[in-house]
Amino acid sequence: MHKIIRTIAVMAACVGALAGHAAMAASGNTKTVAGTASAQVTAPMQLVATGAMQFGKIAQPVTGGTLTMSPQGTLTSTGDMGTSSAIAQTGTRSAASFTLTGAPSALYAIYGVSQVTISNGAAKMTLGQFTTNVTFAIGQIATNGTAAFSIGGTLTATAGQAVGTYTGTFPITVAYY
Amino acid sequence: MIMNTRIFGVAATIAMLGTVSAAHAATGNTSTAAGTASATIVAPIVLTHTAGASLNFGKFTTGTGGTVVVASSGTGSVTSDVGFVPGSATTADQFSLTGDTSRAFGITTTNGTISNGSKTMSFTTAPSSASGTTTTSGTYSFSVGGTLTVVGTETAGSYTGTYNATVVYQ
Repeated sequence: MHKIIRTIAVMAACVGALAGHAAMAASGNTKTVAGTASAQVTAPMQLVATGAMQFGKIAQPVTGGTLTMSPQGTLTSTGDMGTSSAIAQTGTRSAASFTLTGAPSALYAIYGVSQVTISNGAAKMTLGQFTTNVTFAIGQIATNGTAAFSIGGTLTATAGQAVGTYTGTFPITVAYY
Repeated sequence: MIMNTRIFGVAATIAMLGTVSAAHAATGNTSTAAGTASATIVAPIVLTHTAGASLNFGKFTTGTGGTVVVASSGTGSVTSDVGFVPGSATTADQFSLTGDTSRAFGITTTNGTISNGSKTMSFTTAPSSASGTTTTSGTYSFSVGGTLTVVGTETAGSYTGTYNATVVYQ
């Protein structure tokens, strides 16, 4: 696992105002040349969540524990969430998946929050420690302008976590690196 | 080796980034999407031995040995030289469980031995089904039969012992 704190260097484009003087010379005293101008329009990034992070069904833990979904979709557990009765459940389990479009070959960084809660309407569980399969959370957009990555996380249930279906959302942000 | 990366997990980072975007970068330099997460906690599976029930191999003479078989229905039968005596009654064991509704689970039972303090006999067990599905109200019950091996040298007496039954969500 790599934890990185990074700052973003921003190139502030300073555009000086060009104060031109009006030509006040007579005809024939003027000369015109063509200057060149250029700009590069970069495709905006657009991130789309394409697949949910699904922990499936879990039998009510007696003493609590955690379930960790890797970005590859494998599940590991601690505490009472690790007993066979707790995790031997049917149901789809998956890491979250995202796709993004942007400037071909550009680097992008992935950001998340430390944790969110998911709720069954009354009780809550904490989902945090988000991970990605993109090394150092810095990826490169493919030459066709698309990229995809997965997000995993760790779900924490407390002792006797209330029965129910818990849902929630977590924000993921990408930015040109 | 798979190397996963912990995402920058600081809310302040996002805030800082937002500031940068607003001040110096056009919209489109960042994009945020909400991932969805779900998990379902279901009722734990709880197995209860029915009070008073037992796997009872009845009352018999050993002869030169054989087996006593108790079906999961409770019906008893003997093989070889073992013979039930009049008044013998066999019973299958009974269990009930509660848990998630309409959920499949597996049932396993262990072998065991019974003893009168000096002699032992071994037995195997068999649940009425190796798997089941809880009712829409989350209940289920099953019985356990078994086969007792009699070698013919057992002394007269009352033999008792235990075995384990385990249920696991599938």
